[in-house]
Amino acid sequence: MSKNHVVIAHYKYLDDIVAAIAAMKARGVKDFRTFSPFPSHELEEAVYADAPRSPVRFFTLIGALTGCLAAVLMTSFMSVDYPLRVSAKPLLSYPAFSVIMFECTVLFGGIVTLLAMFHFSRIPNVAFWADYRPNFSEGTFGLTVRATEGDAKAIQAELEKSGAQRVEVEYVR
Amino acid sequence: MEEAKSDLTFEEVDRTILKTLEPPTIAWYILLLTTGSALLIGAFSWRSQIINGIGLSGKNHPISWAVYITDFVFWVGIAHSGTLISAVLFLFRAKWRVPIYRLSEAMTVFAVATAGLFPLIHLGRPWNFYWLLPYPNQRYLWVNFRSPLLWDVFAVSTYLTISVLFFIIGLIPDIAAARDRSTGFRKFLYSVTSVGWRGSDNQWRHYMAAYAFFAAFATPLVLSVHSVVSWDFAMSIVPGWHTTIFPPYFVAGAIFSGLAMVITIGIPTRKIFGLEKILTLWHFEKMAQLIMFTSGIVTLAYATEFFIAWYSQNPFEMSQFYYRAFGELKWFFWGMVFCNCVAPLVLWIRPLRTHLPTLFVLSIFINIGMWLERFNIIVQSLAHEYMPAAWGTYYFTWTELGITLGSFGWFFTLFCVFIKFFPSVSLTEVKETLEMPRRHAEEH
Repeated sequence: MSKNHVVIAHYKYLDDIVAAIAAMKARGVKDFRTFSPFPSHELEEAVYADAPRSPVRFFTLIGALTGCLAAVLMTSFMSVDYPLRVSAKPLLSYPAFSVIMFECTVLFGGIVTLLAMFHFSRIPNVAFWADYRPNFSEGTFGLTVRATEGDAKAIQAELEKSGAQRVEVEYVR
Repeated sequence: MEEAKSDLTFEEVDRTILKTLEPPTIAWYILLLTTGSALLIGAFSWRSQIINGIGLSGKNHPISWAVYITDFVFWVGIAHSGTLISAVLFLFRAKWRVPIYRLSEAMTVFAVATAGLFPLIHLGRPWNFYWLLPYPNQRYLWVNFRSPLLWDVFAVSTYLTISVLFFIIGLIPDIAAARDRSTGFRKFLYSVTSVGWRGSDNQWRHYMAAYAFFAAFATPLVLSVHSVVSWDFAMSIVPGWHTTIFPPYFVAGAIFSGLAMVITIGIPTRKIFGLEKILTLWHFEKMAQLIMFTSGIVTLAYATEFFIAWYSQNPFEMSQFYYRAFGELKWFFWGMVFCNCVAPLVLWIRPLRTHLPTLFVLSIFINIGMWLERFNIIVQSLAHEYMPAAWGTYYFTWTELGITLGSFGWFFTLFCVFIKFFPSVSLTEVKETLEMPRRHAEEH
């Protein structure tokens, strides 16, 4: 059976939603997500306890190294291609070029970090999210679970017992 | 003063901060008209300079860098404390940055956008500005990477780009909160600009990783940008410029002036929008303490310059610093000493550190003092170099004063518009500082 239902639970308390996540995991439910108005280490720990860390950092490293390398190549090539011979200074003046290398490292690293963050966070995405509620950006924590019609009722009952202020079930395609 | 424990709720935070986005009052229109008029004066002055030539500015032999480069360094300096507050204090987990970091980040972006105009205004032929960039051209020539002026092009463009990205990344979750609480055109505007942010666990996880890296990247930028700007001067052999203390001296001065500008903007914003519960006296006291510290550093730097000029017994250095204090432009020097070294001493009296009218007036003095500091470094050094036959003095023109006024107009106009369209205090981070709601805590 397809998971064409979503159970949406609204929580006022952080410890309640953390306990509810543990209960869902114990039940073997994997298809869930949480919403919060601000980042919370506790929530992240509860959801991603066993998951590897965000891969954004690898892209930051790749972007930074690319920027540095690009600056080395650019300054070297341009200084040799159009030689400015001044006071017997070496054409390849790397101490002077290090400023350009630093700036390009930061520039490329920053841009690639943003792109990686957008990619992994699945944004930009202005599509309608069936399991999102506007109060999740105010002061309410949300836990939403995709389930089959049969499971949805049982999950709803369990989440109601876990301290949720409100639990709704919605049909989604 | 201890940090007052906040009794705000999440709903109150939203209500208070999003109130700043309500339709503008007549006071806002009057402010916009004032800043817009200043901007127009600047625009007409620049137009006149483009049509009639760079001779309309006061630049002339021997002072070929003058008010425009002073304005450039001033605005880059203003930009600095924004990144200090948003990035460096983030890494140090300083809680007092939270209600002011958005204002100071906006200030950074708008100040760099203002500063970036001045090298172009300073050029005699601004339409050739792209010659600064390394691009393939039919003359087969490349730029000189050994020149500090080119380092500056890279430093300022990188700083602007990273500041804008850091600013945007911080705004996204707040715009999403504003989207969920608005209707009509604003709902559409915020839906597009929040790029579909929902605050899911996956989004926050990658967001926090990216935010930490942005802070880590922006931190060395705080130190590097003004160091590079200082090398524009220190790499030359002009007496008064050729000194190794310039990078830390410029960075401290930049933070000093930037914090003063945060106070200049923060006090009226707090009053007009009723942010007293979020932006408390404790936050202003923390800024005042940092101002005391940086004022001490710039005072020490001024004293060191004079001491080294005497200690080196270099006649050109000694002559330069004698000229600064007793030459025909001496009032600019003593004005700087009063504004940057003497006036901030009032902050050593504790009640005055939290007295907002005093802080507001002092912040304006510091802004004037820091403009004078850059003017003294640039103009006085060039006016009095090696050969007495080549000495000169400076005469201001209305065109450059008009453009300087216009830069303030441009900066504050951008600010006025921003404050009415986007949250000027971070909803997300203010909520993070509140007591986490826990059933366990409430039951006990």
